[in-house]
Amino acid sequence: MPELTDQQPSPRQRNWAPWIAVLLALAAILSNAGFFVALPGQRALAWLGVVLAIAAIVCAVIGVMRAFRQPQIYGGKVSSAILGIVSLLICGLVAVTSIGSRAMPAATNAPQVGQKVPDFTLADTTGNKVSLNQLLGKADLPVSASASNTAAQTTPGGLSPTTAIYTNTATPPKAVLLVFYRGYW
Amino acid sequence: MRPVAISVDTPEVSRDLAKKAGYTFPILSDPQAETIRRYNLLHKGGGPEGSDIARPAEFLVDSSGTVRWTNFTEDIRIRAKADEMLAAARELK
Repeated sequence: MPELTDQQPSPRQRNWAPWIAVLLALAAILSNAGFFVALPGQRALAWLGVVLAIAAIVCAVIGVMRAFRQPQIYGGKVSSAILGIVSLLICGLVAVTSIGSRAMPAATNAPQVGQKVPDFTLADTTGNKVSLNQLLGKADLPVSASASNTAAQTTPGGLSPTTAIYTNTATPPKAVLLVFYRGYW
Repeated sequence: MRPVAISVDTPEVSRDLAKKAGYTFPILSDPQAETIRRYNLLHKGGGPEGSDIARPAEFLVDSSGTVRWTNFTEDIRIRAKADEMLAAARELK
């Protein structure tokens, strides 16, 4: 007859939750790389990062609670705490990235469909001033930018020759796409 | 359809950008953000060291200067929906 040894009150289990938390947090912050690939569904990607971060925090909390409330089963109080802090820090980075990317004023007073856009006269990359009317083809474009006159123009700084920036100047364009961007490239 | 990019960057910086990225459309400079203000796109203090920049926006403008399509992103990571813009451009005769 086999000897009955003392049974453990409950079997030991590996505390996976803190590790899963770190993996989810890493997935959340790395999901930002997806924005550099020109695929559809970028709005969903932004929300995916938030969802993964929340899941990471939930797993981190579960991991710490299991380690501290049921130490005889899970153990690993120190490792769960450290992994929990790491997860929280990474999720903090996700939060900063998400909030920072959306921090901008609304465009409520910008020109809307059906309205006329304000006129402007701004310098192009050769330093020539060009107006909206010129871009719309209602007036001639700056002389130095015409297709026949795109010879090498080196600046005192030694920059390379300029290439034609106003293409198809013979016929006026059907439309102009004004792209306002943040700059500080 | 002629794309025209506008930002607070100087012509020198924009020239570098055009060269490195291979852009062949005009990139215009609005260093004091005057035109950006007139379009109500100013993002005060939104740039490095609290400089004023534009918030991102695209306008498809027909030959009469009227807006036919706009795109105002809420997230700078999300790029413009090119297919929507091209569809709007194709509708212009």
